[in-house]
Amino acid sequence: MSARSQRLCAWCGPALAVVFFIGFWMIARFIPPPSPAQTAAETANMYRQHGFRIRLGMEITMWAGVLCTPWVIALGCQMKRIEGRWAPLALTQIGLGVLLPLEFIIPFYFFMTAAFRKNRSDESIQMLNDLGWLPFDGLIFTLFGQCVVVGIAILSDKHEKPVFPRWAGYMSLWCGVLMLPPGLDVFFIRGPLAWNGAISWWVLLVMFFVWLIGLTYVVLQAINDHEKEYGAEARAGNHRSAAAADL
Amino acid sequence: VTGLATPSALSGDRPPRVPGEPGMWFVILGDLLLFAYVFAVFLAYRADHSEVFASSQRNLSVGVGLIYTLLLVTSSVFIVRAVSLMRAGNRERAPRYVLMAMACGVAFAVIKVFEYSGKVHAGITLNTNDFYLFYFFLTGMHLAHVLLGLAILTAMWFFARRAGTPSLGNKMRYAEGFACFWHMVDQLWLIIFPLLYLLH
Repeated sequence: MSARSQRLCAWCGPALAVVFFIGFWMIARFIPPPSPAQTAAETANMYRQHGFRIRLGMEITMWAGVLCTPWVIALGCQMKRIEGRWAPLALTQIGLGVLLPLEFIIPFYFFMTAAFRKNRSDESIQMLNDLGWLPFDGLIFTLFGQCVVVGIAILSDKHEKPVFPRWAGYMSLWCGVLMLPPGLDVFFIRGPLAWNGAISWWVLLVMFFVWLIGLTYVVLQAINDHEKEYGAEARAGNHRSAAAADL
Repeated sequence: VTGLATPSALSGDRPPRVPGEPGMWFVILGDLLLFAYVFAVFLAYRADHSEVFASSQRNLSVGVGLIYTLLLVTSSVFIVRAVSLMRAGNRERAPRYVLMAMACGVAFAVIKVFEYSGKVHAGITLNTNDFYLFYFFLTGMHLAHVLLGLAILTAMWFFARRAGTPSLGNKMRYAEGFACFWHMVDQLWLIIFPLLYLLH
């Protein structure tokens, strides 16, 4: 095992957060999101005036999607220590987790397409804007599944010294539930449950990063423990069995 | 010196200890934080649309709200009793109290379904106005907690049947945690009820 490469993967989580805020918030200025209640003309105007900024911001935020994958794998590697060689929960987490970058990237292409031609009709631009925001805020289904799988794996750990602290399992379940309301964004043009709403947008934004940073913290701790255990086993001359345990 | 925080209460015969599993408090405190946030959002919307909120509120039945309150407070009392019976190892009576608490929870959920269907039949939905959006969202979120609580109390019933036997093991701590969760569900209702039904 390589503790260094695992740590590198885990640190992609906080890096994702930094890249996301630079691209999405500082450059594209999509935080807070434009209201779904604004008229087609207002929306079109936003893309015509700030088209360059929006495209550049999205280009940068794409990389946040890429950084997501190593983080998901680092989490999966440590989850696998809970389950051993046959690890359905760890693999489910990885499977759901690698969909997350796509859920970033596809909406971003709609935003970039909306900004691509200045002579598009207002209604077309509004539709592309809807196509971007509805899934970007509302696509919480795989993320919820991921939170639940992580929670179940952590709470089902029967090791004497568990891989993750139990609070992290509860945290993952709790964050997952709190990220559900944005799934309703297709029903609301305005108010707290619309895609820019106080409950659906802001709770999702905060909870996603609480979850990401909270799990990064416990994954880094788990990697340290893993390294110590592995080192102790290797020093005791059981290098082969330690390697086998890795499988 | 007040009687509440005397040294004996803090450092007396029992070491200070968190009821239930410490990690579970993440969920309880986190949920309280989330609801507090939604309450604040509700009050902010209410300040902007005070007339709509006041006229919509008159369509809610305070009597039904009181029944909910009584049901949940009663069920919390049953759970307190169940935990102390479990501690005393009484596996005859402890599960009965858990069942009585669950019956209150089920009654709460059934009345809620009738209340919702009445609203929907009267043509009132989430999209009617901002008051009803919060009405359905807050009570719906709370109902989801009640249903989760009922699932948790079912587990507690199984533990209560093992009270006083070695097979209970560390499940007593889980049971305490479940009881705390149920109290939180009760306590949230004690805020939602005045906020939605009574506040003028």
